[in-house]
Amino acid sequence: MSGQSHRFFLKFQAPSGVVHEEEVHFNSLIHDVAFSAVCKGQLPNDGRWEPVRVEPQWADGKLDAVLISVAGRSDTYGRAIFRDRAMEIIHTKPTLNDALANEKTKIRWWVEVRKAQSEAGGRRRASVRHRAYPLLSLDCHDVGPQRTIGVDDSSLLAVSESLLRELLEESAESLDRERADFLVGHLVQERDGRIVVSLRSRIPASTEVDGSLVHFAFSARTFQAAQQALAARASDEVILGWHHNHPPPCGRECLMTVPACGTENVMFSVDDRVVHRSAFDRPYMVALVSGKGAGRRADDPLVRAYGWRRGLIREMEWSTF
Amino acid sequence: MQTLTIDVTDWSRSQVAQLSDLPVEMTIGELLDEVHEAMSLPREPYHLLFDGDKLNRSATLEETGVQSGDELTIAPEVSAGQFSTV
Repeated sequence: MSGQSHRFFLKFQAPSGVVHEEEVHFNSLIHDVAFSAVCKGQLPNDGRWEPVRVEPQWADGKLDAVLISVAGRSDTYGRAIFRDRAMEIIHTKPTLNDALANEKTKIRWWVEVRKAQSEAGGRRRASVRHRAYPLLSLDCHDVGPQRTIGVDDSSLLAVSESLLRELLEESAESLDRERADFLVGHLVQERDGRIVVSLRSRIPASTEVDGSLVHFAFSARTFQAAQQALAARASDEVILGWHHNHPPPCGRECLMTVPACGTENVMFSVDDRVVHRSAFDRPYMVALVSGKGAGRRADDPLVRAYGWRRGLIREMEWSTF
Repeated sequence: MQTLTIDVTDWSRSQVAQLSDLPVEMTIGELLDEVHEAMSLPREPYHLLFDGDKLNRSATLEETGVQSGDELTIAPEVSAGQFSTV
């Protein structure tokens, strides 16, 4: 899915003069359009979703939105897409983050749109093809109660009780170190058209990883090993997301505080968003975060779910089955 | 000049980049840049894997033993963390 007629760049400037520029890619939006069209039966689920167009929409001479068109299906996404990305970059780019901390002032940012240059003759040697979305059309009666509707009410997230129990137990045990899992299950389209992300099991992230009280590092090998572990199962399940825990800031000592304090650390940090954007960018991919809830013991963890909604990462509701 | 045609699959196996006319003297870093651009990946660091090994950016395709028809995998190296909130 290539062929952008325009390229979009986020530009940043701190009062001290620090300048940074970064291109914005629209994979999540392109797949948002394609996946939505596939689910509605408007496009075949064959991965051949061409052509793709990405065009700026102007209002009063200012960039107002971006139009994404995939194989004739299109949708418009507002400036929140750029604001969301800009906030991530400001908080993860050291020079900008330092400027933000030291200068105690806002970083100015804006979007610059440039016409895409045609490829120099013969330079491009790559062609990219996509695989079909792993959609199962099932009248699936065991993927969660109908009463729970996601934030985007066209999709549901359902977690098997056995998987949830395992995640809670691991999180309750791992109070001094972050840990992570790949979440495995089925992507199901029900008769009414709604999509159910049905999570049934996990693959612990254990190959070439590093964790501490406040971080969990995935290496490239971690991802490959998870895919190999899934292949060894010889099932029709797929990786649909990831889970990690946020231990309490005081680690296992937290359990010594009675009654439990009001601290809560179950949220999706900027670093978590970067992991989700770079490794779990399909519109149906989800993230679960477990950790200490306000007024709860650290060994009685809370779980929140996050997923894509029109190209933005947002908290979503979920249910068990 | 000897050239190669290879496939690079992303770790989730949702997309495949086929690259042709790659000179065997091309470094893994240069190949990575081409795949990164072709797949429109975010700026985070990615690595190429072949036969279970992470390939050294400065090695050439010839040195790594990659041959025409081989499939490499691209995957990110990223860290989750709980202190960076917007």
